[in-house]
Amino acid sequence: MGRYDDTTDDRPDPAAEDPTTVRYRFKGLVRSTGQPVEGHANGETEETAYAALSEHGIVTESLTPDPEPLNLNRANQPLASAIDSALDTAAAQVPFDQLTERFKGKNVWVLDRDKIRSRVAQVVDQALAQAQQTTGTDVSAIRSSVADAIDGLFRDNKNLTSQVSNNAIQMDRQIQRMEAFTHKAESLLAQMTVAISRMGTGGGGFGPQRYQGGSGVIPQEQNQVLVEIFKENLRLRGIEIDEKPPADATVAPSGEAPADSPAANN
Amino acid sequence: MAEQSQGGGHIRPVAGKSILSGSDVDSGANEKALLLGIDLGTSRSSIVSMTGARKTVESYVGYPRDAVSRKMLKTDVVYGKAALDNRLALNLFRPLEKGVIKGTRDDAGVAEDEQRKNLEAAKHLLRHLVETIHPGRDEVLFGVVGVPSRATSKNKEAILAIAREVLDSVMIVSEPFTVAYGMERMSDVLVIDIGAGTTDLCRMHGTVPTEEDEISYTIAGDAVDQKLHDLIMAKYPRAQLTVNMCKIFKEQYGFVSDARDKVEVEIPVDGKPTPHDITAELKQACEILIQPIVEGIHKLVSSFNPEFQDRLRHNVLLSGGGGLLDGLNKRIEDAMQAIGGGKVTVVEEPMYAGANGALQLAIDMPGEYWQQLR
Repeated sequence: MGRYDDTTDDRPDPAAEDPTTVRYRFKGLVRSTGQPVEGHANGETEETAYAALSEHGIVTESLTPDPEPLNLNRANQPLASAIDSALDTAAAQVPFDQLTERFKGKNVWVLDRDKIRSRVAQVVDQALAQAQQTTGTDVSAIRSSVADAIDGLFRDNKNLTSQVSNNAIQMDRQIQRMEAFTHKAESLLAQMTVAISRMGTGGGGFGPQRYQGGSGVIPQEQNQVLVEIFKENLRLRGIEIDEKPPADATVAPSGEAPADSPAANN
Repeated sequence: MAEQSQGGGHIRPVAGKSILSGSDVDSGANEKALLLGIDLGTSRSSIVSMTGARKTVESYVGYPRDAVSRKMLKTDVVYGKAALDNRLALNLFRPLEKGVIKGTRDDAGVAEDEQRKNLEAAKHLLRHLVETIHPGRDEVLFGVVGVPSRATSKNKEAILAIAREVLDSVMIVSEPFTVAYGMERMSDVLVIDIGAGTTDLCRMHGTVPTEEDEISYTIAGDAVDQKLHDLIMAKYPRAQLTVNMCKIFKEQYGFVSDARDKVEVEIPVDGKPTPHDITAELKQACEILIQPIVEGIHKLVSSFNPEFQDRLRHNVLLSGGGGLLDGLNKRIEDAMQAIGGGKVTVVEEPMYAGANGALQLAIDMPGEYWQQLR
């Protein structure tokens, strides 16, 4: 059977007790409210974890194996798991693209899960060591020292966050500009190619190979067909050619019904 | 590096030589290009190359289900008829549906994962198709791929995406158009291309057909197979029959003409091969193609310039696998009496007509167009 956990539960994790049970990290939505939720679920297989989440009214969006770190003395060290669970509970899913748009060009500091975990562990460990030296086995004094240490830790945001490099965002922008430039260049090149091919065999241009070296006359009809196919394929690649419509563009092609024909009026 | 064709006056590229060298034209395309015409079909896919090589593969791709089937088949991917024959040991894909990659139609309703697998299978199929004609190691591959006439941009982009991973430069062109182009009949012609997934009608008037020039129906080879299956099962409920068996019967004996010998096939009943007379069912199933085709012809003719309508009616070309059905052109001609009569001709090599035309187009296409599209 599976188990789902998004609380700061410090009971021993069944995944650690039962070697066949795997801990999975999930992200999903509460079925009844639609609120994003993430945390851990345990199960022998993915299916059992999915089932456990479903039983708890959670629609799972992603589920990845996230085994518990090896902890030989787990019963005495529930802290790491508690911090993880606390962070899971406090976290909320947000559309990342919106965030990048909103903070474009700014220096951004984000909460760093690993940093928090290691700093909390470090501070608590130091506080315990110091308290033991100074106050002996006075439990209340030890608790007070730990509380002060954690309070101090959370006073400075630098203990909890890491700066997101602005370079990546700038790089993205540069790539976008290069893409736009390449696109423009491709379009221009295609335009030149089409223009050259329309010049026919004279004047350095050339037409379809089937007629090269033959009578010397390129059927304009066929040349136009090849140009159209080429342009259509450029369009499929997202390359548009800005061309002025030919002067006789208003004249209907031979096969199509003229504007005043009965067929056209149907 | 080009040679004079027997037809006189035409210059054709030579395999393995640069496509535009040896003349005073500097195309900047001094490479050994192998030009290909490809018809990616729902049921069968064909390829023809400028070297003269041509192959047809059934459009199936299979992946071994497990280690045992992998060991038995001794390969990671199985194609064509081999895939169909070993389908019990394979995860079998028929990556094309109604002429386009499955899942790329707006109404397909295929899961994203399924679509990804079909794209992958289509890519493998195309790669296999190209490998069957053994291109040289130092040759660049330029290919024209035919798609159904009413394929959407999304369909075309999907095919383009996979083709670009296999070929060096690709062009996507409407299939009926390639048929007409290959026959050098680009004006006042109406092409009917009957495939497995779609029946495409396209009128040609000397330029690239637009949407108004094309009609596509999904009543095609697959629909005939299904209809035949339903009819046989209705008549012989104990027959153990699959749609694939019906497809084989259709391809072997399919007809719509009035005069025909009895068609008797062996179908298992309780595991025992038993002869069954399917003459009437086969004819009835094949006939479902006629009515939509005639309606399509009527629509395309009636909306054409009245001065050219008669010429169009008398220049109807029938291609694709459906063109092989015995007597289909005559039956269409008979049905066309109601709209003023006409002449329907089955093209030479209906199965390869699309790929042949695509190759012709690839050959005629100026080298710098190919380079531009790389």
